[in-house]
Amino acid sequence: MKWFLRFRFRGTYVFGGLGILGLFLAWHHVSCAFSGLVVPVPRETLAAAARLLFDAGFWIDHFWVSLRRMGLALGAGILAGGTLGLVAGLVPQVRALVEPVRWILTTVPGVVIVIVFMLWFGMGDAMVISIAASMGAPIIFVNLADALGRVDHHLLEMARVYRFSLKMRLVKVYAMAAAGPFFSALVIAGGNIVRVSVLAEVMGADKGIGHCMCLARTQLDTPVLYALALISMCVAGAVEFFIFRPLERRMKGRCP
Amino acid sequence: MTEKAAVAFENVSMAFGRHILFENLSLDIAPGQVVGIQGPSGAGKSTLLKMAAGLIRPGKGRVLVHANPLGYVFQEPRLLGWYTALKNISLALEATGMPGDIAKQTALRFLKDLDLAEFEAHYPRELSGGMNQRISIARALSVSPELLLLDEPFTGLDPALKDRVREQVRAMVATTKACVIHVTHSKQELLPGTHALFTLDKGRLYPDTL
Repeated sequence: MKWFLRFRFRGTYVFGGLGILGLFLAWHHVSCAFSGLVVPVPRETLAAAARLLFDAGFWIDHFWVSLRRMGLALGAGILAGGTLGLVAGLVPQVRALVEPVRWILTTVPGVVIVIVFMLWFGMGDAMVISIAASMGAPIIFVNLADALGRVDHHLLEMARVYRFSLKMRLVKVYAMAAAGPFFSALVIAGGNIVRVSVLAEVMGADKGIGHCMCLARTQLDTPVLYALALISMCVAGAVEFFIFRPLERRMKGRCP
Repeated sequence: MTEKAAVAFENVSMAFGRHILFENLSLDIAPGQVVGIQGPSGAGKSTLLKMAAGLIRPGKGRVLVHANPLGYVFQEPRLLGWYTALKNISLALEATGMPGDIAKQTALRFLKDLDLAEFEAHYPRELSGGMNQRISIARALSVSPELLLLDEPFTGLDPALKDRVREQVRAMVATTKACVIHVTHSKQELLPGTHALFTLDKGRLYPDTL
């Protein structure tokens, strides 16, 4: 049984790698069929990515700026979505109160929010961070509120019988029961925040990966455009696979 | 309520819609008394225990409890799936204000008493239903309850184990002098040394022979 589980676990990495290889092959074939201006060959794109990553100016002026914005947006999204989700999960009235805002943020197209926030916050950090945070927060809010609302009432009765303090109930029962869904939400919110941050930077920032994309598009430098997209994907992937997924697996492993 | 009663149900009435569960039900249980309650399925036995635990309020009348702390063995184990067997018990002890290290030692002692010491680090999902129920029993007994509520606690245990656990619970109850309300559907499952048995039927309690 153990060897089977080990094989299954390792097998997921093998097939994941095969999936990436398949994507590169498909990309290569498509790039052969189209002009390099539309789809550059993977080799050119990887070379452009390497050039960018070996350029200290890109790291300081753009890559680090985007990372900082994404990190701050994620933090703000977790803080706002987590706090409201926690309260809304425990108090249904608060959920009803916050629900219209959540509904607006999840149904209005992202580009509309970008334009509106550009008008409110101008160009730069505040605009990018607030847009990305407001796209991530509703995901965390909904998942956390739902998870808290679905905590087994039998366990809550047990906690009442044994006189668990409010802190114990929150930490030992609610938080642990909601940890799995919370980290799942974090994975989705993290990906969204990366996407929306880049979009916001494309539309209204003078620094960051999105700004570089905007320049590359204007200069018709397609390999650099693809390389920047690849770097953005790698950032989102690294955060997901090396931080959020292990945390999620760890919490789900402890939860039934 | 008599002066000595640890738990008193005073003219308790309760109905779910048109279904009358209890009608002017009264019962006094003295400290240290072990009372068995049997009755058909759906008669309201578990609801009676929940009222004693303060989880449900009666529609009319009142339930007075002069016993603290409370131990409750539910029909199902109700363990926190994300904590080990030991932690599930020690948490109940910590909730009484016991320091963490002493709570762990006490929890381990109760696990030993119920032959579960070697499973202290196991999570509920790694244990059988019967083992989890024994952890639930250990948790209820570990808080040294003045009132112990048992809701068909031996369901899911195999017959040989059932007798052993019943005897262990009886011994522990005798030591702690806890007042016990034991709900069961079978007279054979009553704790040895039960003082009184009642049958709950159609909203009323009838004294029964042991």
